[in-house]
Amino acid sequence: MQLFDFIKARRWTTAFGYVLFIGMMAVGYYYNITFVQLGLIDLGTRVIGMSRQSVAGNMAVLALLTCAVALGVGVLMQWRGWNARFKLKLRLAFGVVLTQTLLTAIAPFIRSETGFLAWIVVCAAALGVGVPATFSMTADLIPRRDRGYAAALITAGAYFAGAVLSAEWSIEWFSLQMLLVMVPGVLGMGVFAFRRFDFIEKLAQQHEEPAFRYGRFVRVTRDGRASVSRRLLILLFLMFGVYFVDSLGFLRIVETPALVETTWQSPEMSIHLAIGIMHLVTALIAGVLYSSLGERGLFLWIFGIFALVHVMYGMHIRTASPNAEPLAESLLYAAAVSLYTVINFALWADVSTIRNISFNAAVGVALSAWSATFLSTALALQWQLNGMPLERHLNIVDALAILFFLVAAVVIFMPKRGNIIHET
Amino acid sequence: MKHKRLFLIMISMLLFVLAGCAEDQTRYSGTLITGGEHHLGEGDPLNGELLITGGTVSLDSGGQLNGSVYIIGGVVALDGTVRGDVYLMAGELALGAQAVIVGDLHYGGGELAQDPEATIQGTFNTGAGVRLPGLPEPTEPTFAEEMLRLVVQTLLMAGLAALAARFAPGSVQNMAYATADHPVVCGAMGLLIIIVVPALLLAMAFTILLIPLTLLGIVFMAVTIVYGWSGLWLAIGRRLSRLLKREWSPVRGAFWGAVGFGVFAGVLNFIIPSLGGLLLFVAGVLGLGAVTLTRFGVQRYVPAAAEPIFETSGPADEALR
Repeated sequence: MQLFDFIKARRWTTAFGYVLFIGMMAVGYYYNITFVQLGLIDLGTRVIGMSRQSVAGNMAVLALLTCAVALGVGVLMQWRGWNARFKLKLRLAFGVVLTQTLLTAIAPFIRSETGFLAWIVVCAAALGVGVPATFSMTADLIPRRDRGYAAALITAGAYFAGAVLSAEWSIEWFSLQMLLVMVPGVLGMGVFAFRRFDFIEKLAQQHEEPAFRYGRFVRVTRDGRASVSRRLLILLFLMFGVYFVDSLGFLRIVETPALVETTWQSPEMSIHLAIGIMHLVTALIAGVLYSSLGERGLFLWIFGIFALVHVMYGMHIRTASPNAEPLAESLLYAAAVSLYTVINFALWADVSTIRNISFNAAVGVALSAWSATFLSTALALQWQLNGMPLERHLNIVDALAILFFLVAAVVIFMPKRGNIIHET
Repeated sequence: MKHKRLFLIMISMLLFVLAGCAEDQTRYSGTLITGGEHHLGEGDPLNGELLITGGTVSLDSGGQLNGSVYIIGGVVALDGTVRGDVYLMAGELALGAQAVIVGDLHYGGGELAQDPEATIQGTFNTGAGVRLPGLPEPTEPTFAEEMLRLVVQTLLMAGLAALAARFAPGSVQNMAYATADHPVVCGAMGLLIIIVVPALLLAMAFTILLIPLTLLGIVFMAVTIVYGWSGLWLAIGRRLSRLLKREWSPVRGAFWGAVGFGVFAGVLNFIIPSLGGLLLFVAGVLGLGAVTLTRFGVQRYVPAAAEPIFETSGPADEALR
């Protein structure tokens, strides 16, 4: 890791940048996978008493609005040249965290559908600003050689905490947990964002260094424009499909008591620890392999494991007794999720330069992590409301997962044909 | 000629697969229960060993099982007669008032509920001493036996490594470079394979038809790990040769590297039991990773470039960097 070189050279400011980025993103991602994805469903159905259909509709609104705001902010940041202004991005991030802290505090007290929708709209706006602002800080704080490792630590931290600390999927519990972290976090960020510190000024200049400026998969042309290979772009689009299909399957799995009460919602702490440790170990493996493997190896593993996980769940549904515990499947699922999450955190910065990172991150994270995830949440809930049996639901998920693997394999082994200029 | 060979290979594979599906009356038979609900009543005796990995099994009062029972999962309620031993390693076992175990009850794990009126005619054994049938009663090995075991294991490993280095020196050297220069990457790749491949083999076994392929897969994994070890032993042998200021051929390097590792692991195992086994596991992970990254030693592993590509030339373009 290049971090060790920085520490040997006593570049403590740079090392602090790692801590700041990894901490901020890990907490933010934990917030999304617990409070936003799971807590909102509990708030809508149990607390407010909304129908599942209504909750599904609101989640779709959240997804689309977040995507739209993120894309708009990403374009604005690129157009105004804000990508190279670290302190501005830090202030935007502070604004997002402050808004989210307030939203987190009031969420358990919402009692009407109108209130729920209003909450969703404000949350979407904040998240939409947060995605390009925070992801673009990768180019300021993490050199490209260490982006895989940083992504691994973010993923490991968020998922381990998610597995171990979220036995109870209630809005009240998630709200309390998050406030304990967010309140001191927002105070700290406010100080860093609005007071002048020498180390913040130094961090603001880091993106000028070659180690930070360009992403790993970027090809810089003679006239200074950046491009990435067509094949890589196609694979990135296929990744959107992975997030969509994954969420489509997972939402149905967590609605099936037999599958979830012995795993993610098990009362046994040992089960949670096992899942958490699997997340942690495979995230670290992914961080190492991201930095060491080429495109082919990386994407083959992601798509392959993803397809295998869903096939195994399908087999479990068809062959195991109703009371059988799918712990092996859950552990493999944790491995697959960690793998592609690490890629998602590292890749957008590595296909970008400091000039276009906010837009690329907005497109990538907003489209993949939000639209795909939340739209599939809405679709999964809708299928369940229409009475689609679990087996049929997972059949469709299995088929899509295998299809993506086959398409990815074809794309990976096609001859490389040219690059696409994506920065002017 | 080439087509004829391919045809013969395909016919052999087909016969192998069909052999796995053929009925053979002279073969030992037992019952495997992996799920569902199973009920054995009076007048419905089950003959042969019974292995339970999941599901629910109940033996009524008056029911009879002529064989031993091995429980490694599921829920079992016995209220009849078992003419054999009962091994509980995981899962749940409830012995009712009418339960009679003619042999021994071995309790190694899981949950056991025993009615006070249940009868165990043999002995009741607990702890880690639950043994598989057909094997002799385990006894604590003597120091001489441990030393002999260590020597035999080490020489076997060393011999296999030397053979691999003799017949595929280039491959073993590629794996040695991968292990020595990129141990973390090899370890990460090896760990990922260990997590994923057993799941894949299990999925294949579930289809029943692919069980022979699963067995082949297990054998293939074992061979791969042993092959990967040879690269690691050569890497260790190289270090040893530098330490001893000698020049060793790949065969000698692999041999002495294995011996060095074996001795080191054996000594550690004496000091802290199981540590030797853990070291061997780590060696297996590294070897597996090295085999994968070098594609069975066919090519040298070079990590993917972490640098972008600059289509530039000349000092004027340096500003872009």
